[in-house]
Amino acid sequence: MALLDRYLTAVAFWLPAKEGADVTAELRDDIQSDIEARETTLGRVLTEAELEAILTRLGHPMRVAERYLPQRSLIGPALLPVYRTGLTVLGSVAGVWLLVIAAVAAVEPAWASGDRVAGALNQLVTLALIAFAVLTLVFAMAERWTARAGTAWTAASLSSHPDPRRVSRLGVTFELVFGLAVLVVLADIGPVSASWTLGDKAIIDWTPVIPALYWATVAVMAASVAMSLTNLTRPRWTIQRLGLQMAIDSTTLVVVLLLMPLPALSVTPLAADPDTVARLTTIVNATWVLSLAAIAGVLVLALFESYRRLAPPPRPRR
Amino acid sequence: MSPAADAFDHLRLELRRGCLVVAVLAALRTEQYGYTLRKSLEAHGIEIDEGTLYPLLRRLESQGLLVSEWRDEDRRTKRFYRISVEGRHVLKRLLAEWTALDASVASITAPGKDRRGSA
Repeated sequence: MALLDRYLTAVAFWLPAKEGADVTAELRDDIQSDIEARETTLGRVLTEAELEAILTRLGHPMRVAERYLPQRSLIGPALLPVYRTGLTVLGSVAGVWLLVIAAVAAVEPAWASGDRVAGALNQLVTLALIAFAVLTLVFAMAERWTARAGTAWTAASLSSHPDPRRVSRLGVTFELVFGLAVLVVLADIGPVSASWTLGDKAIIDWTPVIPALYWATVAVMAASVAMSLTNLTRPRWTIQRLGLQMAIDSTTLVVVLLLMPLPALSVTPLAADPDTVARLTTIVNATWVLSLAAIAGVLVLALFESYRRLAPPPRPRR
Repeated sequence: MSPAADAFDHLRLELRRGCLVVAVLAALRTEQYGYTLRKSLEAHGIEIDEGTLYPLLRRLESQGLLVSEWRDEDRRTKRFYRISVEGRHVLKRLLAEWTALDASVASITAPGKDRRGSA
C-alpha cells in the first residue's frame, strides 16, 4: 500500500466510519494537490522521503483525526480537582491498609505464613480497583448531571459570604470516598456473616445481630453517598437536605447506641489456651465498643453542626 | 522557548482563531475547494494548515453558514464550498463587529494612552 493510503487509513481509523471516508477523501485531494504543485515547481516526481516529509508535517494520524471530533471529557475542569482529591483520599486509605498488613505480618510471623499476605494484598488491590472504578463512574455521572442542572441556575441562588450553609469541598469529597469505600467493602463481605482467623489461635465471628443489620447499613451508606453527591454538585445546604441528613445521622446514632451493649463479636478458641482466649475476647470487644463510641461521637458532632446550620443564613449583601 | 514567547504564541493563536472564521467566510463568497482556498488565504498573508482549515469548514457547514458539494475537476473529485445566504448575513454582522472592535482597540492603544499614573 502506498504511503499516502497508509496515512489516510490511519487517520480514518480514529474517526466514525461514515465521517472517516468523507474526511480522508478531502484530505487526499488536498495532499495530492500539494504534491502536484511541488512536482510542477521542481519539474520532477517527488521522492519517497519528500512525500514522507509532507505527511510528517501534517502530524500524527490520531492528532489529525481528533481535530474533526467534538471535544469531550469524562470529568470536566471544575470537578477534576475534586476527583483528584478523592483519588488522593482513596490512595491514602489503601496506603494505610497496606501499612496495617505489613505491620501485622511483622508482629505476627505465624499469620504471614502461607498465602495469607498474598491473599490480603489481592483483596486490597481488588477493592481499591473497584473503589477507583466506582469513584470515576460517580464523578462522570456528576459531570453530566451538573451540565444539565447548570441551565436552570439563577444568580439568586448565590449566598453572601461567610455562609454557614456552604458545603466544604474537601469534607464532602472525603465523605463521598468514605461512603463509596464502605459500600465496596460491604459488597465484598456480603450479607453472610464474615469470620476471621487469628493465626491458628482463634476464629472471630459476627454474632447474629450484625448480619441482621447488614442491609440497614447498606441503605444508610447509600443515602450518605447520594447526599454527598448532591452536596458536591449543589454545594449549599438547603433546609430539606439538612433535615434529611439529620434524620440519617439520628437513625445511625440510635442504631450505634443500641449496638454498643450487645455482644457483636464472638471468639472461638482453636489451639489457644483459656487465658489467650479471654485476652483476645477482651481486646476484640473493647475495640468494637471503642469503634462504636468513636462513630457515635462523630455522629453527635455532625448533628450539632447540622443544627447550627439550621440557623437562618445572614441576609445577602447587594 | 521562553515563557513569554510561549505565551505570545498561545495568545497569537487565540487572536487568529476568530479572524480565520471571518477570512474563510469572506473568501468563500467565491466558490472554491479546500486547497485553492488555503492557497488564496496564504496569498493574503493568512497561513492556515489543513488540520485547522478542514475541521473549520465542516463546523461552519454544520452551522449552516457554508454549503458544499462534491464535483469532478481535473480528473479528481473535489469538495467545493461556498457561503450560504445565512452565512452572508452572519459575515456582514461579523465584519461590523470587527470594525467596531478595531476602532475600540485603536482608541485604547492610541498614542498618549499608555502614560502611567494618568487619571
